[in-house]
Amino acid sequence: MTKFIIKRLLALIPVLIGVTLLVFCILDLAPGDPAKTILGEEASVEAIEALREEMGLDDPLLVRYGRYMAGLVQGDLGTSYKTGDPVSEEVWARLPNTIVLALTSTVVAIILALPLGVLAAIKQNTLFDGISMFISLIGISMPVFWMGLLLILLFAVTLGWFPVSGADQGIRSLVLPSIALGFMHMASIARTTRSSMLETIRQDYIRTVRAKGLPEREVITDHALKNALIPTITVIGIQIGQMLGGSVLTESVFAWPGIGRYMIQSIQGRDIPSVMGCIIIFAIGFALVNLLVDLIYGFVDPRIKAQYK
Amino acid sequence: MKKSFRLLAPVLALSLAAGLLAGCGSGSSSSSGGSSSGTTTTQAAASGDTAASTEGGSSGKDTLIIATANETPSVTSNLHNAVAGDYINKMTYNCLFYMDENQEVKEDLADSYEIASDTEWIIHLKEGVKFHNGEEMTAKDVKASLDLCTESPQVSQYAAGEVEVVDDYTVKIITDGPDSGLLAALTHHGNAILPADLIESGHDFNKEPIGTGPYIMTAWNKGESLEFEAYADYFKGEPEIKKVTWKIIPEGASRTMALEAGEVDLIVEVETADMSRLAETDGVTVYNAESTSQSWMMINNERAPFDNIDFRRAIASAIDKDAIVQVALNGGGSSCDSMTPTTFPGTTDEGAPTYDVEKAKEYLAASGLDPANCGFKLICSDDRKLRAGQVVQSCLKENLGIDIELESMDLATYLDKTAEGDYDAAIGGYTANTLLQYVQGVYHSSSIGASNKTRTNDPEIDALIEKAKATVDPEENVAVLEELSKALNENCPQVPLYMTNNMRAYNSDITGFNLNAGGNTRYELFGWN
Amino acid sequence: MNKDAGNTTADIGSEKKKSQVLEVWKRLCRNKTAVLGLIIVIMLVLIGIFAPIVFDYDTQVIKTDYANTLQGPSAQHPFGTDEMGRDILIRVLYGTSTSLSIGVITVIISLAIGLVLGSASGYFGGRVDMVIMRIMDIFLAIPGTLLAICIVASLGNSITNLIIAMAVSSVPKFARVVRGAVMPVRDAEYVEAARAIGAKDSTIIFHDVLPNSLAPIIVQTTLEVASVILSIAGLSFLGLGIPAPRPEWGAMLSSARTYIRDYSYMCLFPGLAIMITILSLNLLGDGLRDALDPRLR
Repeated sequence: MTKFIIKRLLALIPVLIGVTLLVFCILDLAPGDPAKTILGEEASVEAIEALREEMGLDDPLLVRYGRYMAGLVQGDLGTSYKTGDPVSEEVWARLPNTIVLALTSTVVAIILALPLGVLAAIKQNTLFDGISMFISLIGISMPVFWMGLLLILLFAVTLGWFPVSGADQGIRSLVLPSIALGFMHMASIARTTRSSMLETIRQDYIRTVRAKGLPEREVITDHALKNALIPTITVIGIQIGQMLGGSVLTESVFAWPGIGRYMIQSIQGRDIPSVMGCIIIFAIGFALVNLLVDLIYGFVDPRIKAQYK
Repeated sequence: MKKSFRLLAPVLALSLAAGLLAGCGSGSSSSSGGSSSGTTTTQAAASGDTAASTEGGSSGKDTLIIATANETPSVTSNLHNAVAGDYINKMTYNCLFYMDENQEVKEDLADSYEIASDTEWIIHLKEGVKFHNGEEMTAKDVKASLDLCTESPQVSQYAAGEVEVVDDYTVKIITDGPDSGLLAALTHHGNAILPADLIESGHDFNKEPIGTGPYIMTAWNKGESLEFEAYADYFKGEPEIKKVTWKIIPEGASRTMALEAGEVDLIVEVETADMSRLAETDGVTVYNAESTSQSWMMINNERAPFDNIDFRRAIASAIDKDAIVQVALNGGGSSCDSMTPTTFPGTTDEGAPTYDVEKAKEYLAASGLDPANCGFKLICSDDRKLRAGQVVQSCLKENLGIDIELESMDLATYLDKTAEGDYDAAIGGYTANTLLQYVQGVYHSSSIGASNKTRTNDPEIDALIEKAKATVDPEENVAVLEELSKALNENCPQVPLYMTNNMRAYNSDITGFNLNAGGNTRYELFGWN
Repeated sequence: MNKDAGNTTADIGSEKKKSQVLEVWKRLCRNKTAVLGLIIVIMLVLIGIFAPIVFDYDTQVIKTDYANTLQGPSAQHPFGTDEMGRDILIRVLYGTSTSLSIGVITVIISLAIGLVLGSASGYFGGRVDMVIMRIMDIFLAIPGTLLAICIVASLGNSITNLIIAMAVSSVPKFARVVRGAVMPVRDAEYVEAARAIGAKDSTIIFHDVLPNSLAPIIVQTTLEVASVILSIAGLSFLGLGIPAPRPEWGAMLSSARTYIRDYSYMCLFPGLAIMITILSLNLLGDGLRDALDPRLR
């Protein structure tokens, strides 16, 4: 097991090197000049020159990349062009917000999706099934930023129950963004739960259990659900990964001070070290979630566990 | 049931593990620990406020919550040139001089000054001024601070010159030739006075901005808020309001709603669309007056057809600027014809083209150009500029038959292209504290490649700018500037569009509200009714 | 699927294919929601084709009208007008052609590249597979939206750059699906037979392997159009998508946000348009999946 984890983590290294090189090159194509962007409309000729030199912008791409990687190996994400502070500080200050949002929306999604999916499967082809699958289709089709706008319109602007944006009112601030992000992911989870539930119910061993005369409730919770959950967990894992991407939009709609929004601001300010930092954090988070999904997979399904060697 | 709980374990484990990720995040950072505790303080303050205001008699109130759209990139005085940073610097620092409500230079840390010769200024300092760390401010601090400004590219254009310590409370500044703009430059946050020994020891002013200012920064919750506490030993007396929080609320509508709900007391950037709504709200006062910031359609004078002066005048006369103010600013500004901001003494409208379709057609005829060949691309780098650009587009089409194309661009690319002169036309602006700073940045040939984006290169104008700089006597100085302003209007290097307004909205119980055209507010004068 | 088709000659294969297509079509028609999706998609395509013909871009779609800004829905402007006085209904309809055409072009490009990379990877296996898939892993290690944001921010706002950005982030998805679909077919008897008679690798891939692994690729293509349209809207919402003044749903929502308090109708219709488009494509994609391969359900 440990060996498996270590192997997976080691495999992450070349991918991350590739990611940094890829993003570094992409950002290098950007036409804007960070020095001019920082100094703004009123900048003077001398100031621009001096700042470019100070930031080492005149060095060739590979020199800058080499310097960046040399720092990265020592855990240094570089210095933000815009604030002059270490990028790691900027990112760590915002990361908890992003994680809190991702977690609460995952919880929202699971709480809504599991019962919906399971019930829809049990009552297959009834009205309830139809309605719940329609809801989840809507969830998949609705852009998260539109969902956000509608929630703001109804619950913040019209009813005034929750703040329009920001993160300064604790739980109250968290409600709308988590629902917006969670609703979108609820859909996929519910659909997967339903179809894997249907498949499981049709299996022979479930029939056997039923034949033994166990109450239907126990059949479902004790026998069917456990096996049906395996694909659901995979989907939840994939969804958490996608949430990291979706958080950029959600954070922008709700002005949530997480790394998604920070990345957008950094891109607009041509703050390349900060953008790199955000991307690396996202890529690592993405990879860790995937690893975790695989591990949990093994926990739930002993057949797969046997392969982790 | 017990068993079914176990089924949820993997799901929980997933959540927990992700939580661990969060945990290790905050563990390895010093600032985020502060951030979480900081957030709760803010909340307490906020709820305390609402409670106070609902009780009615809020006379005992000593906190102020300010909503702002933009987070400062830095709280140092020398590593940024951002408006958002300037606001924060004014809380914690003082300069030798400041701009008062009438945009006139007044002594701040300086006690008095004398002009020893054309290039030598003697400045006497106030005695007994203490930094936040208890040390007294003396001449060596002034020298170290002004030198720091010279060394920092972000603010070096406001550098004073060579500084000599005469005695503990006197410094001599030797400028590079006569400089009528020196005192104004000394009001810029780049010339804020910091303790010399901390500059030397490499103190991190971005963590702990130690100055002489009325407030001490107590927390900076990145992306959320900045918190300040009154400095008891402030040399002009301890401020009446003891706690100030700058809250970052990027969404315009959210700022408006927060003020309406009493969650904040003052909005720095009022959403123009909400202006009339706020003006009608009970208990909210709206401030709306001209600023020193001018916006124009800048045109690249090195490129045809803009190298033709009659063509420049033709387009300047063909654009309905009042329509732009309505559409782009929702009325939050005023149209403007002169090539320099109307708020500065020395600016004149004389010789500037005004909106006059007949005149425009005459100018176009005089230029000898065929409008069909005069199409160009207009860069617009945000929504407001895009709205203004669309008005320009329809005016030029309708009045002169010129087809222009709007080019939407991000700020970074726009700044780069316009500075390099790689563009036809763009909507842009410039903000300065004095007319001299303004003309030096916008029209002097030495600023080509940076802020002189029209690439105006006229020896007569350069000479007038230098003359204005060298004329230290205030009255003569204004006369030179008037001459310059007229020359610029006649040259018509670009198309002025509007002056934006400074807009603030605040709780009507606030006393001592002040704001100058340059956008500076002295919060230490605030109190509660 | 049809392991008995050990013959590589095209004409016999095409006979077989016709009846297959018919079979799939019948199955699709039996699925009510899929038919609904198909009908909506066809309607959207028609709107996308005819909107640019019916409405004049310069005078009806982007022309500002300051006398009529921010008018609520009325008989004259059923969806109201925006902050520039433009008719929202016309812009929403016109936006269909923007979104659909960009979505389809992007998917065609990434499908083409993905087909080449994925089939090479799946067919040859070994080192080729490893190299291609490791490179794809790098692209897949960054959430797609973020990668697209970086690319578009770097290249600048334009339709071409947007297509490049979206294509780069969806190529790896296609490559994976194609590879997965090709691998099981690779060792089928008829492929070995083709190899035995000395057919070229490219011939085998395009003649024998791909046609027999189409099902998942078709499904992925339909769903990917939906996902690309959604991403374009998201990027435009962030100000990184289609440059103004060309109407695009996400960009329209973005500017509506400023007016959400007093003119909330502005944020309803563009969002509805996005939702209907994505919903219909998803319905169709799901239906296709069921129809193409009943076992996949």
